Amino acid sequence: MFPEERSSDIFQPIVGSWYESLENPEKSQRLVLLNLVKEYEKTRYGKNHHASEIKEVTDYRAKFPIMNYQRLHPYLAEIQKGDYANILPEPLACWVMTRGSTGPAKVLPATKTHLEQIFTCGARALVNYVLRKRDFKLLTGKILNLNFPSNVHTTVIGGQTVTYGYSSGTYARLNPMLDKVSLLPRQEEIDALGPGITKADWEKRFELVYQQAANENVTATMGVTPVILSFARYVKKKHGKSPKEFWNLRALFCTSVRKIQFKYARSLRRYFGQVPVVEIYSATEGVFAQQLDDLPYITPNYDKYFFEVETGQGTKMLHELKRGEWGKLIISSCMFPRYDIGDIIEAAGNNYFRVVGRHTMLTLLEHGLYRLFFRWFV
Amino acid sequence: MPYCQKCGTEIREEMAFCPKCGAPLKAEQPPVEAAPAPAPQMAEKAEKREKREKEEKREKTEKHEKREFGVIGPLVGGLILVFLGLTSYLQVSGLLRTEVASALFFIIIGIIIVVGSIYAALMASRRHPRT
Repeated sequence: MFPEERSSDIFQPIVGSWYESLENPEKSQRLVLLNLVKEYEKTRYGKNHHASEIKEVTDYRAKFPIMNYQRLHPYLAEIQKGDYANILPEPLACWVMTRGSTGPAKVLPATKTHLEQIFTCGARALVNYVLRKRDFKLLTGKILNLNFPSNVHTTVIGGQTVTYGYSSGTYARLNPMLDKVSLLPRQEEIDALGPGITKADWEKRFELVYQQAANENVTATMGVTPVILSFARYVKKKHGKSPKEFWNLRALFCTSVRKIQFKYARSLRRYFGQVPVVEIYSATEGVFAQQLDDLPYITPNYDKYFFEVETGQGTKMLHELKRGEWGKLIISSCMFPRYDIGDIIEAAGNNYFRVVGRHTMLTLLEHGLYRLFFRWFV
Repeated sequence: MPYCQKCGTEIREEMAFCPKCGAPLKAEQPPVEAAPAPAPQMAEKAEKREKREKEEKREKTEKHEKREFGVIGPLVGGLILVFLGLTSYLQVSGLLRTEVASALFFIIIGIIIVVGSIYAALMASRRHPRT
């Protein structure tokens, strides 16, 4: 059994600083910025943009331009040649790639600090849920591993052959915390099935997950939302029963797509039963926010990332947005300063936000119309 | 214009990784042991397979593009219907005069169609650049 009385001590390093940052986001964000700038000073990119002269948010905005993945290409090429210090404050730990479902496939470097933040923030949704609901049984069961393979390509850096793959699988394989909550199957077993992501490849993975989990006490699943849904459909089609008839899941932790609560939750519950769906806003670049309570919004990790939003009225801090204000999200992390993540975010007040979608003409049009017709009611 | 050796996608010079499959483009090449030259039949088969794969990829891209552009028609149609309904409602409830409503109707419909067309043209030029 999980030692409930010691839970706050155990979980404090994971959620403690997040809870504190929510009480005073302004103070937390200022602290994060000053720490980030110190790190950027170590890079040539930071030196070129006079990182050492930055004392305030306004200085930061004036000196560092907004960058995106396209602008990173020359720096990535340098890192690939072994010169990380051009843009990264610390050595490269590994490469990770996105699947490219919301745009072009991206390959990004990952540093030790970045990985540590991914592991801490990735665990926050689960730990926060367990603490809030006092549902410690969730931690005693297995968690279905529906991640992408972590061994897709190889490259040679400094004479050494390096294998890399999709970020979800890579983070799952490297995460030491997952030993404690038992991923089923292990990421190495997923990787052994090959790097493909065709329907046939996924069916092989789904069958492995099903075979290993069929007689186990599975309490949760965590991963890319459409994959979780596809797995449920596969089990129903191939084995004639919905996942809810095999397992008594206590929560579903869903990532990587917009409208999880409004579009996917209903379908997921049809297959998994009436379980809570907990949203995590994550990407290959980081785990930026997660659901704090039962409200269908996400709450940012103010203590790890520095958030700005380009709105119609200029650039603002994320926490400054009033209910209904929205814009393009710009994130500064331990790897990249002022990185345009490509998402539109809308404030719902009191540290609650929702990701509207990718920054495309269609999303802007859709959201513009939504605001036009419904802002009076919402 | 260079191409990705793994998937055949067109790439730009400054790219370090393929935007389609994520394969490395500028890394040092791993040492490769000299392999025996393939027999003519094998080479022919490999060529055919490569051709088939390229064909499949082209079809897939076309389907994807069609799906993407297919959204614009229903969206424009839907907007027109919504606006039509709205103006009718305002007329019936006496909040808008008929002559003003019809003028407004044509202006808004025109704007919707122009915006839709510009968006479609932008998307098309991005997918099929002239250079």
